Amino acid sequence: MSWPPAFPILSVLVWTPAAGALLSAFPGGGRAALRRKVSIGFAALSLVLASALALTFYPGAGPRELRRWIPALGLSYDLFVDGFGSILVLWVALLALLALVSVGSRELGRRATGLILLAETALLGLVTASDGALFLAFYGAGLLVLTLLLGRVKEMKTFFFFQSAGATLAVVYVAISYHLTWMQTGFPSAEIARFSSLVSFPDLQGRMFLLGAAVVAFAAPLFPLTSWVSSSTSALATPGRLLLLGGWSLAPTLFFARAVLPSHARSEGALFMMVLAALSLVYAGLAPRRSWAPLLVGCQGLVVLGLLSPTAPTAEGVAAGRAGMLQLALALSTLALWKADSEGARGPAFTSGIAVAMFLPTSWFVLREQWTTAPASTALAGLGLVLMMFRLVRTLPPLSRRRSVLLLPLVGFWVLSLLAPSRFLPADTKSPETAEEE
Amino acid sequence: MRIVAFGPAILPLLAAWILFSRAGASRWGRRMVGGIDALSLLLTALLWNAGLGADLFSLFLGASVLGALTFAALTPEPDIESLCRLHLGASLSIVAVSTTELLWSVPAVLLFGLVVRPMRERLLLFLVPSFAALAGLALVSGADSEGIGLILIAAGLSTSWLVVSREVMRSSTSGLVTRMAASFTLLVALSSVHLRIAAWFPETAPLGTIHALGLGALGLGALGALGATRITTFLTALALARGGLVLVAHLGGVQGRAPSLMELAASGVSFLLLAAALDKTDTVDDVSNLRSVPRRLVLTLGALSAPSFPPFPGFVAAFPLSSALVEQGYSFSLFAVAALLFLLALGSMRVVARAWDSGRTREVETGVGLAALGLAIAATLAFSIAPARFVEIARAAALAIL
Repeated sequence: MSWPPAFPILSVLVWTPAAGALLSAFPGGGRAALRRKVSIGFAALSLVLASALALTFYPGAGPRELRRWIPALGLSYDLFVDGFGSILVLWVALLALLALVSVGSRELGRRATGLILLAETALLGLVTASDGALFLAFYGAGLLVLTLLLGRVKEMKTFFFFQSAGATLAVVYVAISYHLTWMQTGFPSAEIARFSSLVSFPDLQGRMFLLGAAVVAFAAPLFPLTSWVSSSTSALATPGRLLLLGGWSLAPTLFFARAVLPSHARSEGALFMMVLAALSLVYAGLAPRRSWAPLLVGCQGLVVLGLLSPTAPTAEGVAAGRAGMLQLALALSTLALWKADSEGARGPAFTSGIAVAMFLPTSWFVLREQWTTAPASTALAGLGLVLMMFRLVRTLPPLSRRRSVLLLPLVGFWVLSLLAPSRFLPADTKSPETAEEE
Repeated sequence: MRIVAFGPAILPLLAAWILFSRAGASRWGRRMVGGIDALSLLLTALLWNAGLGADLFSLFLGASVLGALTFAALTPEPDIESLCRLHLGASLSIVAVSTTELLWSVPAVLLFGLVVRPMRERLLLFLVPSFAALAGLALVSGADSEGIGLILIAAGLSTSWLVVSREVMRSSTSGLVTRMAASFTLLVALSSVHLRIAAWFPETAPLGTIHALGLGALGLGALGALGATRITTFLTALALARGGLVLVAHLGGVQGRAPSLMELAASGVSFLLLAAALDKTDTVDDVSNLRSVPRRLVLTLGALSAPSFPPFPGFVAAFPLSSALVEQGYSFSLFAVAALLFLLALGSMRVVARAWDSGRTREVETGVGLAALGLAIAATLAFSIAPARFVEIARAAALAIL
């Protein structure tokens, strides 16, 4: 089934949480329950829309909205979802709803409620934007919202420093690609899909790849640019932590996967990036402190290794890398729910196994793929991964019943990501039925 | 000499006369001044659409000046004399942007510096670059010394702007909005002269000087914003950085003119919103006491527009501007500008973070005023949500420089 062209499903999906943020700002301090109902209602509506989008998605016929934003500059309001996008919008909508219901109404103030919903809009926009300028607009908005969610001056400044460094590099990357598109096609355009068809000299290819890699290194982050993670996660309550680890952690790798890798996948800088990712995993395994920094950095290292796997240029390789992105975001969210739990609670012991299991498919894929081309860095990454898993099981607190219930959708989503590998194929890949007909 | 925006230049003089007279202190007098400024802005818009062959470049810059003037007139200002001087200066600025003769525009910019704030002990510091610019003006009449003359004009006017802007910000009696409006008005006049020089003399235009001045001002401003503890220092640094960015945009050649104008207009929005939101605060730490949410939102919009942070005003100009710089061979400068804008963003975030710090008890309840709210909404619409019309206007103005 395809959506009628007159119904802008993507815009409705993206802007519904923002409308919820606006409406939830009206109930005053004494009406926290009403505010909670309004915010959860809008988040649930977004989830319904995202579910409808994911269920009705058909390969090669994903909905698209293309409007002229600034025709003179070739910039468009261009929203589009492929199979991966349809899964990601579902994930973002679910994550925002989980963030809102993870705490009681008294614990979530007016400002935090509004910011969570605005963060959802920014993340949905990031996932669906097909124009580079629009992507950056949502990226900047999301960065500002996450910064304000931190609430404390020192943490806000540290987080903004690293993230805006990544954002600045991303702006430069898109601006140069915009210029190259203009020069080579004769008209200006920032459409991300066009970047992959640009022709450039090998030295420029290498520099552009390193520029894109620097975006990930600063914003993801990769080792050693990790100093903001611990302070930011400690400043955030469970909802904010969920959004930061499960949602915002996708933004830089999404930029890398969509704008950088299709254009510069075979660049020489890839080796440097792989070593940095392997070192991130080693850091995750050996870091002395029990904090979020090693976990996040280790996960992002694994994601980057997956995106740079030797089979990445093929459709299956791209799909595996994308599945890894989502599965590790799910694992991080699970841990975010888990670690925020009260120390005195008692819970089932098998939950430790769930966390480790969530890492296994991606880890297996990454290590198997990388072993053939770079055994040394793969061995390093493997060692870091094993140590990280060991530490993970050892340090997880027991889980309460309420959190166990909240964990169920995450586990369900993870299973779904394993069962629907075709959803992660690139948009230009033919559907199996079409291929058979040919 | 051809002055195409003569009407809009006369009306601020009338407003200045009202402010100078006894009526200027009364409420209806102030309202009349605001009405006259708004009328002159409307007249400029009508001239744009009238198809009378008006110079669109002059009209664009004139409208920018009059927009700032109207905003300043609609904002409460305790010092009538400063507002009166601002109107005189704006009139001179419109003359400077409307004429195609350096013999008129350069003295108009210099006279503006003298009018907008009385100089005392720093008069010499102001006069030296002014005389340098005048010497350049004399030299430019001789064909052999054209290049040197243009360099002296570029350097002299830029230094004058720097000195006058700093002097304006040091005023303790007038409100922040009036001071920032004066700084912006002078920046518009300076930019018009530089843009015209670059367009008229493509072979001998002092691009090296403009390049050095632009990057230098952007760097100094970014570092100043990072280290400032007083609000006036912070705003001066932001103004300096934005002036530098506009100068760097001039390097983009023909393609860089429209982004340069877009950045100039975004600078005005940023200056005025910041000034309105930060009025009556002395130090950067005082921002933590602001309680009004609209005021803090306006502050955030103004502060993040200064580094053209996405998706705030000025951001969309980054694409054609980058393209123009790379096209002209200034790839390294593009990276330098990006690095300095990043520093500027960090400087702006120092203020924004304090405004939204959740651990403080907030005492200052005062709102930001309807004029600032209106400008914030208009700027969001015109620069971020639906900027197509604005971009077309800027491109039409850029094409009309010659």
